[in-house]
Amino acid sequence: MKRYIIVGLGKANKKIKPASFYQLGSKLASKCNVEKTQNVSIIFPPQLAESIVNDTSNSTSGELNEKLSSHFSDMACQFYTTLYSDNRYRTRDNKKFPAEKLSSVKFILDMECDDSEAKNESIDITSALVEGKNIARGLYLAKDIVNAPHNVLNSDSLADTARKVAKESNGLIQCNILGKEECEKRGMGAFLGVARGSETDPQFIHLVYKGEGEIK
Amino acid sequence: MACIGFTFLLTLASASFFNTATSAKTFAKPSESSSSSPFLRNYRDRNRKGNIASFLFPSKKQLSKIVPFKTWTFDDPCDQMEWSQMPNFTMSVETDSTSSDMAIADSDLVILGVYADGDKLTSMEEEEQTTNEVENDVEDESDENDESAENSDQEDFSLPLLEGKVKKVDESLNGAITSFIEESASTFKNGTIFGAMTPTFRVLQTGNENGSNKVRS
Repeated sequence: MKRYIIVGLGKANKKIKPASFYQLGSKLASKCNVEKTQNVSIIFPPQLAESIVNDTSNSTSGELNEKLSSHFSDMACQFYTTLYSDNRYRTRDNKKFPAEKLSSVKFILDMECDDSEAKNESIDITSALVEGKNIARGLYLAKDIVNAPHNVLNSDSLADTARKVAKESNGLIQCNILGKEECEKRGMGAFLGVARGSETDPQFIHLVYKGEGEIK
Repeated sequence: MACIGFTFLLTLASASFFNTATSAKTFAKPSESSSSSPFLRNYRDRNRKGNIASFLFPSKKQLSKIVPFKTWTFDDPCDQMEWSQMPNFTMSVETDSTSSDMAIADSDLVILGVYADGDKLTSMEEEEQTTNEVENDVEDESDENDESAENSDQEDFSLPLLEGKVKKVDESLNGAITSFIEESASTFKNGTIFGAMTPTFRVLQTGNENGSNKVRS
């Protein structure tokens, strides 16, 4: 049995707002959850280029590619974020796994272009989807931190989380943590004064991001 | 000396008592109840009723109910925070015609994006505006409401554009998508609203030699 859903993308000659792709990603994820589907294909019609770029005749393929990547990154991010479920403090039947059976999501771009262009776009959009997933991962962590109670998330465990983040960044993020003694040596009295109210020792967390490529 | 002697005797007595108790707890079987001491019989009775003994020595099932998870406790601060796992599925883009056809064939849910006919709608909107201007001059408000309702109905029933892959899918289903859009025009609004979705419709494969499909919504 095959299931079909038709989704409206607005008027053909009207430009789509960037925030609309966030909403679309969220709606698609909700539908995948409700339908309990395994493999999903989402077909975008040829008019997608017209609705993204103002004037397709004057715009370059690079501009179109950039905007497509940005929109698909937003959509992928929101797709993952909609499926977030914090099961860390749930037990047995209370645990929720949205779209548990989902194994693949394929966006089909029905665009008229020659093979070489199509391949290039495919590569760029694939990287945009990866970017969207990485942003969603960051949002997952932020939600985890906000949701955690104080006995789980204290200065020690937050410092440990910062170390893990730096470790998983493959050198892009450097982590430097100062303990109680180091803070005392540096005369950080105000910080230590506030930390005296805590059950755990103070941890001064310093994360430095050094991105690759040119500085914009 | 007398005090030391008394302490020694007390130690011996208590040791022998605990030895009996532990050996009884470990090795005693229900069939031996007739030959065992009154203390053991009393202990087993309590155990059967599930009162004190079951509280002191709970089973694994009981323990799982009492202690639901072992990741953290209220008594000590945690050293680590558990992270939520991301859902495990692949996300990809298909631009090639053959591979996208295969993807559609393999998937159990196909979501088709459609655009509303922009030119048609703008002309209709213009008509609507002009009729509204005319209607403002007319004093009878009830007639005005009726006409605008008719206009909105007309807008609902104009079909969205089906092009490329969506058109192919529609043709393979013998125009089922077009008729389904017509059916759900009142809620779907021809795809004018970005992100508006129709209800799911299912297609059953009949398995005929002709490869024909049976459409059921």
